Amino acid sequence: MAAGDPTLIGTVQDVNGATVRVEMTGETVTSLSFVNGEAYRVGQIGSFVRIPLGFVDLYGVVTQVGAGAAPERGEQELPYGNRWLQVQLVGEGTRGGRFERGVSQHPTIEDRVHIVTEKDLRAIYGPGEPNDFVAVGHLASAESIPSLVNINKLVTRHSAVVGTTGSGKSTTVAGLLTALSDPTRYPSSRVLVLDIHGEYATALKDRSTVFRVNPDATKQEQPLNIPFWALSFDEMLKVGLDGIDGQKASPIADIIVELKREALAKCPRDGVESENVTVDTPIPFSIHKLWFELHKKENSTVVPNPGGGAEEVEPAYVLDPATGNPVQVGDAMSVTPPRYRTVKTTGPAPERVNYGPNPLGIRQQVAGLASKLRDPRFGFLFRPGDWLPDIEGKTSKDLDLLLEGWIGGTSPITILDLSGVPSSVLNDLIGALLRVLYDALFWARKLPDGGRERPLLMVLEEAHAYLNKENSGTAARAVKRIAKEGRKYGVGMMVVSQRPSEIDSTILSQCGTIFAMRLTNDTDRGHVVSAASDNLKGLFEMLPVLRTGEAIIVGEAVSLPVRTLIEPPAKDRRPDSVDPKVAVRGNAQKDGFEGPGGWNQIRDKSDYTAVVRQWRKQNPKYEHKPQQAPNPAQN
Amino acid sequence: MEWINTPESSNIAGFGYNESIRILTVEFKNGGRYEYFDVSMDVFNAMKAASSKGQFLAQSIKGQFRYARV
Repeated sequence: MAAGDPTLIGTVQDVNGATVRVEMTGETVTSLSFVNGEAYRVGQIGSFVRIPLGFVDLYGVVTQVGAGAAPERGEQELPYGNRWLQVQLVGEGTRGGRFERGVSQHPTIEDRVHIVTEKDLRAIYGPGEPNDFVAVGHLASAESIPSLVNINKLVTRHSAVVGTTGSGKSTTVAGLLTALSDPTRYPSSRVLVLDIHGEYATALKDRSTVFRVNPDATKQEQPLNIPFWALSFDEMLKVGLDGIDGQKASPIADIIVELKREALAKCPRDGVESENVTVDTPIPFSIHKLWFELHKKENSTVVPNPGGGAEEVEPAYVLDPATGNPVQVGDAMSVTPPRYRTVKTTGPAPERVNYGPNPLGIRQQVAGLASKLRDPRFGFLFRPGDWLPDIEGKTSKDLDLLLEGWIGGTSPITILDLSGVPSSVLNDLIGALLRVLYDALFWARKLPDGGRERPLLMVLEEAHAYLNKENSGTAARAVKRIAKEGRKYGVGMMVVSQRPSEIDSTILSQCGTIFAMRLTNDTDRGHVVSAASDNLKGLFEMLPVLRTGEAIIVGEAVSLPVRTLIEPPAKDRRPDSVDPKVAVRGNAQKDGFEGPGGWNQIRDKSDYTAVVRQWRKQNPKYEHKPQQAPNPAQN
Repeated sequence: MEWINTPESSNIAGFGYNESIRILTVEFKNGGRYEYFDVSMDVFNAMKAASSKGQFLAQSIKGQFRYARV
């Protein structure tokens, strides 16, 4: 052994598959080694070692240190105790050349093991092709080396950002998005953020357009509309007429096709002919008319047509006794049902009232649809502004303007702020949204606007809220589809969650790259480890002790799993997810407090009418009603 | 709106006043922006004159005026 080589740390004593056990030399007693004036700690979990084999260098990562890493047989006592390292081989590089994953040969007994110096690290982590990589921070072990991720792999092979609350997830995402939307490097980048808590609007304000269900006009927010007629039949059934099985669905599908054909005849649309219309074709039709027809089918009662044949009937409306006219014949657009007389099977034949012919037996679902059509919370779907079809199925705007707003705007990032959406409809809304976008990009795959030519990254914040294992809702189905097929068509997703164990494992395992922040919960950790497509699971043992803002990045976007200190964005570009402060810092007698609230400041005058007003408006944006009389000057 | 930046304050980044709607806007150094309602011009002038804006806010505005985060 060449004494004096400061990079030497030990020799290979045991090789088992990709696992190598290394006995450290007696010389590195201090576990601190100096190479070219830089200090390196020997035997840190997660650090790298180099094993030169002729013309190639094998690289491995240290996963275990000490007695447990020793081979399982009686060992004689060594002067310095159990100085063993367990190393997982990860790749190889030619001398001074490129690093590649995978090894072509294995080390053997007594091969020497060296520290990986900064120079070696640069070769490993350095960019192959500068355009492909963005820096997200720097290596936790070497501040001078940027940590680069390959955005080709990051975007299209999907990714996940997981970590406990407060581990720096949102900041990481904001940092990544800031890097990806850099106008000088990627002027055509395209990112869509599903922002459940409304955190990102401030962080990305100069690069994003914000859509909200209740838009705040003063902040240039756009209204978020998702026309129901852009959904597929199955999804629309799920949202509008929940609980209808296949047999009863087909007559409804027939009615919808008929309505779509009628609408198309009134207002022809490029790309679809009357005979090609299917129930899934995204052309407008009046769902109000559908409801009206179904309501009549289910609830109507009939009387024999006076003077007609025995088979002829007419609707048995409730009649106004004074005029003899129907009290209420109903109106589709205002969701007013017609009123029918109750069934009467006795008395003379002309007075008998019978049920209408051939009901489908879905009265309950039709009533449910009516209440959804009236519900303002579903307005984004069933009364989608300029995309609301009138009774003939005409709309003032078509889907192109909708898509252009979402993914074709001037800013690279679109934030769909879903913070105002009631949780009961969140799942359907997200499902509908993803599905509309994916379909559009899928079919436009040969166009410059499509996903292949201009890929789209979808960021799914708080994904556990709508991607539960138990949740087979529309959102989960849409996400699964993107997870499975998206990469071929340039639609990538980034799943962000603090509870990875609650996310369907088929979704998580499709994420090619995982940014694992601090994760303390055992179940969550297990879930992430099993989803990671890497053989370096030992690295995940570090998850509970990561610092805030530190992440282990594993998977396809990085050449090697890397422990990274994520570069936080500038202070005014951080997401608005800071926890409320119970006690604020500061002093009323000196320079005041860092914020206006907190338990350690005097109470404010309360006004719970304002509280209730916000609640009823279902909108956090407060509009103050000024007091009439000017307040006398305080103090 | 008249806007005053206060780099010398340790907590407050700046503040401004809109006389027509009587709203005092305060931006904290941590990025939070708040509107205080029904604030008279006199109070704003007093705040401009105060040697420590943070202290003035904590002592004379906090508890007196309703506020909301923007």
